[in-house]
Amino acid sequence: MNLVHQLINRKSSNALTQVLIFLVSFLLALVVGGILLALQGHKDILSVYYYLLIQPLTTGNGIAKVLVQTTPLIFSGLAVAIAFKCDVFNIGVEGQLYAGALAAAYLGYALQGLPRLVHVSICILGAIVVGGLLALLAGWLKVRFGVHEVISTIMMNHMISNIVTLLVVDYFRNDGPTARTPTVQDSARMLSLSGSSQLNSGLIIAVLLCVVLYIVFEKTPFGWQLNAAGKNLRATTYCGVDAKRLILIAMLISGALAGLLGAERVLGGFGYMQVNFSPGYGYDGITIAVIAGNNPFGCLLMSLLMGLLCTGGTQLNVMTDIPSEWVDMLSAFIFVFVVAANAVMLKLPELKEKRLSRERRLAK
Amino acid sequence: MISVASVICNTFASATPIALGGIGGMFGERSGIVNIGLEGTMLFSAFTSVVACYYSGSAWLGLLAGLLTGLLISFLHAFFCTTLKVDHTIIGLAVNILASSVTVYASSSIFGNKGFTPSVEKLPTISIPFLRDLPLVGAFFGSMSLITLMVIPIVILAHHLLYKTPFGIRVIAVGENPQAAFVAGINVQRTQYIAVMLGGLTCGLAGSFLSISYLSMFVRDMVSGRGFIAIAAILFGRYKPVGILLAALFFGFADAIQIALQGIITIPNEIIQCAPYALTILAVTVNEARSKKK
Repeated sequence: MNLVHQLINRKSSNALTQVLIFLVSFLLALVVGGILLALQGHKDILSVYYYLLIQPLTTGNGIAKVLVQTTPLIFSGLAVAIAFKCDVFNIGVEGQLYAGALAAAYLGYALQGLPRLVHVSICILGAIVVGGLLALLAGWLKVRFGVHEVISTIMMNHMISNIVTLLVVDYFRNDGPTARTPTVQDSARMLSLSGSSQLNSGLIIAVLLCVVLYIVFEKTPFGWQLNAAGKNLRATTYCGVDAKRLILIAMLISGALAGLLGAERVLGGFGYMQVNFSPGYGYDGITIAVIAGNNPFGCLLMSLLMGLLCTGGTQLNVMTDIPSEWVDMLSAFIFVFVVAANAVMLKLPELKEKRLSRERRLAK
Repeated sequence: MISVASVICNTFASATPIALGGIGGMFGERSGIVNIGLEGTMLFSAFTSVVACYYSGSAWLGLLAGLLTGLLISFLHAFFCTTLKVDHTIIGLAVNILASSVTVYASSSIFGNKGFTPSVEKLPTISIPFLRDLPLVGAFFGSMSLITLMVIPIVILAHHLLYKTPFGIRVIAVGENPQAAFVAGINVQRTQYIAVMLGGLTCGLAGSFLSISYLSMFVRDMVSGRGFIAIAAILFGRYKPVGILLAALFFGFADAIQIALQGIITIPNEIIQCAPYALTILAVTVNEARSKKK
């Protein structure tokens, strides 16, 4: 009873409610996904979920693979979250990360003879600047002209994808069958954390960023301003906050994180930039940030889960005939259910109010 | 050389889904519901059209399936936006994310191919007497897509519905000021539901056009930004049906020029392909700057 009370009275325990909402949505998504498989004639649904959720975690190699998938997702989730925080939708992470990746790859193979720390830093800086500026452009169009950022960033995604492909294929191409840049210098590689997988120091940066952003969001005036602007932009402006500047800064940081994602994939993961390497990290970031309610640690946990789903999905694809898109669909379901559940939770006090007033009327 | 006839054909073909999607989104926007999910709605409809067409062998049933899908998705959109009061952009994004994963999964489990479906029967094309004998545009009128033919009547109908009927006035009233509309005795939620679902129908039509008229199959993420260009057309067309049609023709023309220029001039194709997207951003920017001045 106490639990139900807490659920209805959101103020008492917001984090707990969010976790419960997520768990229920997650289970519901698994049930719906299972039903779909059963309809297709799959008999052993439980073993499907075993391969998806448990099996990758049973070996060290599997855990490393999960963490490799998790790293870019953390960056993406944080990138979307910081813009969401002040009610701006950066749908352009997908484009910004490609631009950042190309910048990192170019600086990585073109510069030579630098010490490792300097070289890696320059590459990352390049990626951050390119990603950040692209997002800033969308932010500037929004505050200067009122162009909705969803439209501008989506259009920019299409353009960046075209241009980056052109640059890689025609200008920065490595000789070989795949469309990719030359491999970056050894001095530009991020530290590897395990010999056999792509796991690298990018994960440490990502986790540290979660901590930093948590502190920024919760403990600094800037975080307060972001939060306030997201809740009520006009009221925040009356408090003397320059909302336009705030949006520009949020977009800049968001794009920078997207660029960092690209740099991590190139310098830590592949060692080169390949055309169309992202399986949709930018869009996964939206799912992660919304489900996590823009909480950096929530983003971290959600990225771990999505990383697990991604790894398990590949595994599933090998072991059974279930396509990896089934897993993408699962995360889309979780997203929709969380949104719906949150909406219903917001609606509950109103319904309760209605019931009470009806009871009062009847009592009279 | 650039073929004028093919530019004209491509202009109308490219403009069709943008105009229909734009008209669809407009009804929602006018009633105060922002629909970022046009893209996903079109994708869902394009897919169900092909599935229905594949199993029934009839393109007409495919069209019906596309329309019903548009109706269903827009009903859900309206339910989340008006009844549950979810942030409109978030639920639009949810539709898009859901559409791109569900259609690919369904495609692979039904047809065993993630990238594209088998080819299905197309909707019939129409040959218009006299007009087909005209120079330049003759080729276009000689085999005109049925859905392209429907665009003009739909725009006229939408214009009439919005400005000349009590329903249209109610939609506008609800969009401009829901409280005032409510006080005037208008059922705000019902008006929004009808407006959004009406828009869902034309959105569904746009999806069907892409998969069973323009092409004859479903291709992964085949809408490729048209839903968002349709939103730009709504803004550029100032939320008016005729304006949206003109904006769609403008974007369609840009696309046709882009197709015609490929391989002719020395600029790489990838850069030329950027043109419609760049133009969309530019058009929205100019439009917003202009409306700010007033």
